[in-house]
Amino acid sequence: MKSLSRLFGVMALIAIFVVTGSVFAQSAGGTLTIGLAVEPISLDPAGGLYIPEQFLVQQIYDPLVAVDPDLNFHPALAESWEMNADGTEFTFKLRQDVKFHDGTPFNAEAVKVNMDRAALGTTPAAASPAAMVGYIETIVVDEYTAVVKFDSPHATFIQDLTRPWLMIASPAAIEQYGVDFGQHPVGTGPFMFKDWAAQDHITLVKNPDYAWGPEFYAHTGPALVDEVYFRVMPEPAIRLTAVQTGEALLVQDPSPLETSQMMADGSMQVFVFVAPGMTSHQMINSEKEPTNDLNVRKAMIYAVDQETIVQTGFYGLVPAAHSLISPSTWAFSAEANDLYRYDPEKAKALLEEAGWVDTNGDGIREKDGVNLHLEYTALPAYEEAFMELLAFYISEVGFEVNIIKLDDAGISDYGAKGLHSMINMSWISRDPSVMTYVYDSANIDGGNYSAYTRFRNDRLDEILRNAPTELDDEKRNAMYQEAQMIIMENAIALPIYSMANIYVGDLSVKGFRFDPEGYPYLYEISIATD
Amino acid sequence: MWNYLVRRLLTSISILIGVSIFTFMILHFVPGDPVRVLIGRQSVSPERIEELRQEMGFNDSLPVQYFHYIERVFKGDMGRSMKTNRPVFDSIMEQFPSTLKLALFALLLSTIFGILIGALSAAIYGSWLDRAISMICLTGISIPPYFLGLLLILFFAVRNNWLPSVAKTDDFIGMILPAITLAVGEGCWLARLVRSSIINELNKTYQTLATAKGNSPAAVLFKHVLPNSLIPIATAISIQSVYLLAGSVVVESIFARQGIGRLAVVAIQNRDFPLVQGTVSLIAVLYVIINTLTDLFYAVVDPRVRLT
Repeated sequence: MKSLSRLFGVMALIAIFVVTGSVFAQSAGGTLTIGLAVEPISLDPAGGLYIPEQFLVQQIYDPLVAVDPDLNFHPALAESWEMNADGTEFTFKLRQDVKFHDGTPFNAEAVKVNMDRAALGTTPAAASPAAMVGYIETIVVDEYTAVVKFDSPHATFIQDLTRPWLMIASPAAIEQYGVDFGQHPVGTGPFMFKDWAAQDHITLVKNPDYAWGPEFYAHTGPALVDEVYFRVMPEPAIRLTAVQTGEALLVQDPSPLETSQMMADGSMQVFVFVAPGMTSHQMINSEKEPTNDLNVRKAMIYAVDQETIVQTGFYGLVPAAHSLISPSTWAFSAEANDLYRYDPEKAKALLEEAGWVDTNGDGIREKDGVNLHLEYTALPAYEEAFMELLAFYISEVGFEVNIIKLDDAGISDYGAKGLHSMINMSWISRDPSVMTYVYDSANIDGGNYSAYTRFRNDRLDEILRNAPTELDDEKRNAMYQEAQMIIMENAIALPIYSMANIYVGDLSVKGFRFDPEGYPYLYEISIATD
Repeated sequence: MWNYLVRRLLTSISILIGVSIFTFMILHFVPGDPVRVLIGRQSVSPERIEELRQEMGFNDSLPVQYFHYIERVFKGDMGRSMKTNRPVFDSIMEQFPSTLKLALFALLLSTIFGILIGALSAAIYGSWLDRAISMICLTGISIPPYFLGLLLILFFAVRNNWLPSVAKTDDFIGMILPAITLAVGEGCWLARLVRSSIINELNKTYQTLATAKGNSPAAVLFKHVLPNSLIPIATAISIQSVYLLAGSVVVESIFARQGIGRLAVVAIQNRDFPLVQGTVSLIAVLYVIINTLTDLFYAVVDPRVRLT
């Protein structure tokens, strides 16, 4: 609860700065230096992966449809759109006054080029093809009308269009740069790409012609800062130091301890965004001994005190989680969220019931001479803050936990072979459909090999496969709520905390506001010169 | 002499072949399938995965893959990064100048510091100041660079704002803290070496003769003793230069500098085989070249070496 009240404090702060931001709108200009945690690989929307790319792609490109922080859709590059009754055809009327950074005009042909590219993806890891499943073609009706066709209903298409992977790039530049387009991005967005020195910096400059921002932006016309200078700083402590010394005005993912101190003394602005989507949770292997027993899995969930973990590991900067879906997500199931609370006695009782007793007094339960043993394959890059504590809580009720520290590649190798007892998972997304990536049983020994629970349930598979084509929002909502119940009732997810995007900013940074996925609108930010 | 040269070069080449085989093998024994890492969490059909494996040559047997790799390297093609799809050679050449600049600057600092402090220590051998210097040097050697780096940042950047902590790559001011972080350990190590080799020489009888001929103590130290202790010191410095190049990994991450150390770390995490091979080979080649040159330098200045 303490963390929640802090969170509201931050939100209030944000609100204040949003309001005061407009006062500073006159004193435009300057360079906004931002400390990035991870360097992007490619700034091609159709080639991009996840986190580091998303933030930058959103500055350089515009979507056809934009979404505001309250999740309402607004016209962006498309003035209006229409879906046919089957949900398979989408007609877009386009703005006629938009130019790419290279001076070429934006039109229906550009939409076609981009949709065709997105459907295939330009790298093996591209996120865009998943949003274009069933794509047939884009028809250029006239200069400013385009129709996108799918072979099956696509309930989430308008929502997908707001995400970076379907944003519109300049066809002329795509042709000019070919495979290197990701290093020379050209879009229609509020900022234009200037240069990129690998492992050092990426510079964007404001687009002076920008006049087509969506209506919910705090101002119109070009962006308020002249230049955005992204520095790649891999060390969390150094990112924070850079704000203290003034070498950066805004940094992402700072170290939690120092951030909580700065929050307390008010020397910096701290912005916390509790992300929708999948929480950071452990996917429990339902095939391997001993976690193939439902009671053992339930005991693991009851054994863990998430509230203490977030206080100790994250200094209360992020909220504890009790379900695999975060409360700010559409179709969040409160019922699934209420199933488990910290109760070590109940955990012990469940283990006794399952026949696991400590006969030799070493603190570890046995059955038929075998220890109650877990192989915890952990990725320190994400789990450092809590993995020891998590293992401690689980071992308190009589488990023997062996932490195997691996990198990303090692985790996916162990996971695909099913050698783990549990693997951490989290996925920021506004829509619960991301559950499909890791809970559809087709991904156990196929697909992306990331269904680490190795859990097979026909009803769950049916929901996860059919919900994306369900056009009735109410029915879709009910389906996802049911999916959350199936997963939590079967105790294959051990929730830990809700994902959060944290930014620390200098006091001169004004107009900071999060978009619905937790990235700041750099377009609205200005630097106060006092 | 020629005989020695040929033998030395053959040794170097065999070391390089060994390194390339070792790097190649070790990458294939680390858990993690490079194709899966490349795809991440996207759903990709087994056929497409097979296609990618075929394209990248992972379906061939290890020796065949290795020989293909060597064949390409001899044609001047180090391949493309699997992750960024940029040519490995370009990526390395873009990062290398920064590492080289930092290493050279750190080498300069550690050499000056090491020789001056070492010579001073030896001259006042046994005094309390000598013992104090020894203690300080021991601390300098023992302190890990990532901790020292943070201390320096805390003092020079956060508390006093005298120097930047993460300045741009081209900026000389921004190189001072990383270079000191790198140089302290090596400089202290060199100081101890200089001290002990000078003391070793001081105990020899020729300097009594030099003093008897009317030389001042300083002249004895700098004209006779120091030149004679130069051989082990020159070796130490040449070895240091390679350590400094390879040891830049931590410092580059802390100070957010460009460099091949950081490039290699990211490449290993991504199982980006071509890029790992490229960076590791570069460091190995530099190591071997510098060591070979050092050995040849010995052979030139000290005839005894040629016979062994």
